Amino acid sequence: MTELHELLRRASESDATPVPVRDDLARARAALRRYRMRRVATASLAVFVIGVGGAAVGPSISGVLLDRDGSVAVGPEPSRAIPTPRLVPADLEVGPYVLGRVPHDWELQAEDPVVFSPTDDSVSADPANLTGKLVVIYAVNPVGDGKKVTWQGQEFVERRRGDMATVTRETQADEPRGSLSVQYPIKAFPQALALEFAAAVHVTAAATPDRAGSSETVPDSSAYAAPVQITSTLGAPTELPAIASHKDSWLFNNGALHHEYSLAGAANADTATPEAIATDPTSPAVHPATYLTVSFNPEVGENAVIGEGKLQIPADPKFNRTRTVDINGAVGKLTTSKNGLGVIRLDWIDAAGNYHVVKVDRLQTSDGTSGLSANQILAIGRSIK
Amino acid sequence: MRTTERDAEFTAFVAAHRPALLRAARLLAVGDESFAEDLVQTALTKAYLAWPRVRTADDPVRYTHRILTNTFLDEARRARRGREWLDADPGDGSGPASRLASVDDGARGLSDREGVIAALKRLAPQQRAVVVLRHWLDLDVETTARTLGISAGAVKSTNSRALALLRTHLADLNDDATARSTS
Repeated sequence: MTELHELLRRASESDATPVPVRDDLARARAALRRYRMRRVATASLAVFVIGVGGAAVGPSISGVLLDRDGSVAVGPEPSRAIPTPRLVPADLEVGPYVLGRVPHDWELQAEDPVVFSPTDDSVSADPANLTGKLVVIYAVNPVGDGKKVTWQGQEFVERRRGDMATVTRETQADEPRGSLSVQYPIKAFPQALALEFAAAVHVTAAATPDRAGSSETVPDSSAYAAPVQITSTLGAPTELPAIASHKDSWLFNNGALHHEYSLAGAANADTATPEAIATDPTSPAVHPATYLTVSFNPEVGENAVIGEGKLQIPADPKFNRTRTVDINGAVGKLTTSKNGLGVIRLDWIDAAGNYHVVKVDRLQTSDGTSGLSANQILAIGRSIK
Repeated sequence: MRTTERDAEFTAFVAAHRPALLRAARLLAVGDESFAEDLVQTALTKAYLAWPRVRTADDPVRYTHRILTNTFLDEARRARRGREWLDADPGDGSGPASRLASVDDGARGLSDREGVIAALKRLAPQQRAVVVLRHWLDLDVETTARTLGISAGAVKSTNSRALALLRTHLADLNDDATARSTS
């Protein structure tokens, strides 16, 4: 048996480069964050059920909804088309923030800045697109001008532009110096709810000026615009062109479902320049594509394991490399290998504690050799139901 | 427990034990470095999520090896069910179906290390898991049985068959090498 142990020792050796511990930690933290959010969603669902049941016998005031957990949703009668979200108590660490309230049944899309989105299809699945979403961001900037609003003794400044608004307050004595802003969609989020949410956010010492949300990346908040430029380590955060038409779908006998779409325009149109390709030919973000094929195989249950997406890449030795990408808080591993596939890991855990996997097995694009950016893969992965 | 505490403990754990986990994963993945790396990443992520249980386990390292082994067996079962890759396998040996192939057509002209890997590759996933747990991690029969969720008797019989197969395959490889050197 000693001989067998020695043989196994030799077989287990490798010259492979060790993976940094920080990559394991980042991946694990991302999984935990999703797990906690799903647990919060479950808890909020339970509260919602209790609240509905109590409404029949409890107090009912027009425009003011009282929940048994003490959360309060105040504001105008919600639109019939857009149900008013409600907040539930939490103690959730997300990036450099601790959230004391979270919106019921909204999904955490990004960590720093914090981005929550409704779970319906009313907003973009791309975390970089903030329209219609709830965003939390710390900046070293002062609060600036605007309409002054007071919420339970805390002073905020409100600014509106179009369908979006921000409420901003000075950070408190136990927070880093600067301001905290919460941006919210006016139609979906009453101002009082946004104020209650913002008042329950605590900025931790981890929020530093060199993180996303620094004065360098937050525009002047007096003129509301897309407030955050989110960068990734892998190419530019290019918006995936709209899917112009659904071309075909087919089901393989192994259970994998495939869809083929035509895109309205070329993916990566703004980054796929000859200069960019010459500078970094291994970047998936610099190749154009006009249609894509998505294959996926949802896997749910206790036996499901953390999944992988596959991104087809050229069979070229110079593509043989691995990168860990951190895109808006979603950490993945994108690998490209000789004659192999690009892999980006997409994993999360549902409220019941099960691993869920949407497998974007392949993204094969029209030029036959290229892929989409990691942002686009994530957007596609999230948009698939 | 606070995230910062969990992070600190997990980071120290990974720094100390990742190399050993990766070596075990390489044996399970029979030389497929990327598959081995995926197994380790998955196992570590699961360990982090279950950290309160891992840190209070009698032997956190053994607990994590258990997660690793079961992750490997899950992958093997998934590949056997043919729910993925069998049609879409790129044919380059990077998919689980290829990774878990039971026949190695390239067992000619191999180094010592490659020879052992080729022999391990011919074992069924559970046989490979038993060999790794019993003879690489030096777990006893009872612990191996608990790790795999099978009976002690099943561990003994699986181990016996696996060792017999390994001896046969390694002998075949030695014979091939001898024949080549004398031809």
